[in-house]
Amino acid sequence: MKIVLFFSLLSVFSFANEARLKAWTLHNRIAGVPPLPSTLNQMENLILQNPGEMGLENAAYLALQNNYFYNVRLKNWLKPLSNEERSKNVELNDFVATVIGAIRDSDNPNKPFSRILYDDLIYVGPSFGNENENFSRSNNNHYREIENDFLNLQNVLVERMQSENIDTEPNIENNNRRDNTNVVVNGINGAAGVLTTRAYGQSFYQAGTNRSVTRHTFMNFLCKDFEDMHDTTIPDFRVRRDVEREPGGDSRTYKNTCVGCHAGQDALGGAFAYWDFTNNRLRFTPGNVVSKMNHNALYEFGHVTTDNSWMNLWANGQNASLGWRGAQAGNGVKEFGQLIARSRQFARCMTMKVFKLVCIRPPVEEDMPFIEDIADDFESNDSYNMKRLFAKVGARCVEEDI
Amino acid sequence: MKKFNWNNKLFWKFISFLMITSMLVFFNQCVVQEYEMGATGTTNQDVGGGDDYHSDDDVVDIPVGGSGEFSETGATEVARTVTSVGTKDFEEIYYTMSTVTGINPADESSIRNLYQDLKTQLPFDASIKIYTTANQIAIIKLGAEYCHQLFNRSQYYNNFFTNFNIGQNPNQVLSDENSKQVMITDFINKFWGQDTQPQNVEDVARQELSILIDDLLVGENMNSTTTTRTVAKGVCTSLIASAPLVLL
Repeated sequence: MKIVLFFSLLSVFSFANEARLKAWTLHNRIAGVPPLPSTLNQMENLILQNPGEMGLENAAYLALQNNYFYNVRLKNWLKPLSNEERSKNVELNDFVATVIGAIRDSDNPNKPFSRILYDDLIYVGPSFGNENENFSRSNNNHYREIENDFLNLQNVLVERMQSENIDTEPNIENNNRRDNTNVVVNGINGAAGVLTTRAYGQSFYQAGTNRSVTRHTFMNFLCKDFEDMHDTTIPDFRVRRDVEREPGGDSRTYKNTCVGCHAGQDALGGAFAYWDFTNNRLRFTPGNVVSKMNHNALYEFGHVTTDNSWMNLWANGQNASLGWRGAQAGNGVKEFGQLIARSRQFARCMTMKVFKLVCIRPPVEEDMPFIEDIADDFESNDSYNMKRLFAKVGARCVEEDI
Repeated sequence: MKKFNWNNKLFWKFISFLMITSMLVFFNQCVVQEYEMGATGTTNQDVGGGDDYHSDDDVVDIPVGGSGEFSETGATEVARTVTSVGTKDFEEIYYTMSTVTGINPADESSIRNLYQDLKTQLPFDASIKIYTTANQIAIIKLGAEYCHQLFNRSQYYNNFFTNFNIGQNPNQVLSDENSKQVMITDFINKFWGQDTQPQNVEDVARQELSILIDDLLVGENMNSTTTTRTVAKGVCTSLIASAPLVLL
């Protein structure tokens, strides 16, 4: 009898210990820091009340309330998406702040996370009462100040429209797009969430040919580099003039290599025809195609960009697997953002990225059914709730690892 | 019945063989969980669709996750192995130490300055495969500064312990094993979380920390509360850079 009692107590103790270890691990993986003793106890109780993934999911929501989830974990996860070098050693900027704000608000049914790619929105911090540190479209001081002061991103970020004057900035001249070079963004074909933020512009619209922005949008939100999309079987009538048709004197190189990426990306790249980053700010010139879209005419019969129309030639063929939905042709960045956000691959990509962050490893083949299930859940009813995604993925990984 | 001869050499040889064999077997089980990358995230995709460019019979493998961020590359099998163990990055370590000590680095310039100096030496990525000795040294240095400030300022150390009395001298609070364990328990509960570690891990840690306290007390003034804080600083430094705080 004593032996039975001993082992019963031992099993209860072991279970309690395991629940606490799970709570500890879950909190660390979501917030990047350990829980306070009171939070640890609360999480343990939630896990014990509903053994299995349900309890862990409930506990994960507690960890998601921690400030460090926003100020450290999300911030350092998102920074590499905002620059060409994909480094986290950069300042907080409007791209990162906007994605963090959108994740915070994504449990609101009217604010699905997918809107970061097409809505007229931007998240800004409070007014610092100092012109140099308030929001400006010409510098990053505002966001640098938020980071340096370690303001609580969960509390201070406020959603505004890119097309309006943002009142944290008293210097109207610096904020107003109604001047000679900047036309107001009307929210229809103009502002498109993070795709038209200043940091995105500085990194991907500056100089070059505006191809970089298409490529990085694919990498960031579809988890696909152009090499992954490579398909030489689609027509090349949208390939621009700056792509040599006989590199090294051999047209086979163009047909077998270059066209694989350019046919698809140049057909989509028209979306960015009216955008350029000059003099420290992103410029929008509706009706006027920026010159870099058509320069270096190496092949005179190549496509000439005359407007901001785009078409998705990757919708058929091998890249149909990305699950494209809705209109496969359109105008401007906003409609391009909608194309990306509505695809199945967007939901799949976000799930995989969260999986890699929270599970500390990339998903492997045996994880793919889980990824697909969670992606289903993520996009069901157009909810795109990132908090729920973090909770579900976190619960699964901790349940599996401990 | 014949009495068993405990000095029988054959018996002990057999026992030794059995133990070594079991150790080898268990050692092989005791490794980081591995995952086969295989054809990571591939789906069989019908690329037909009835258009002019493809036949309906083509079926190819399309990687679900591309862009390189979901594949483990490297020259060796170890480098390509996928594991679920990772380290916190520089900022997560910085604020983990802040959380467990209760010190806001915004209030302590020495911690902030040291962090800026060490930032590039601290882990930058979660991958355990690129974790180096230099990373660990940087973590210990940063932890040592947090512990130094923790036991240097009364507003911190007076609020740190739950049961241990930091205001008394070693003769009063560190003279026997039970009292040493009071201090150790407070540290473990704060730094590792109460009852989060397997009992055997915690038992070994308790033994080692008890020995550390004895070593730190050698030659020190047992009637000084400064000695108590010095010992606490030593225990703090040894725990703050430990795996439960650094690993994700």
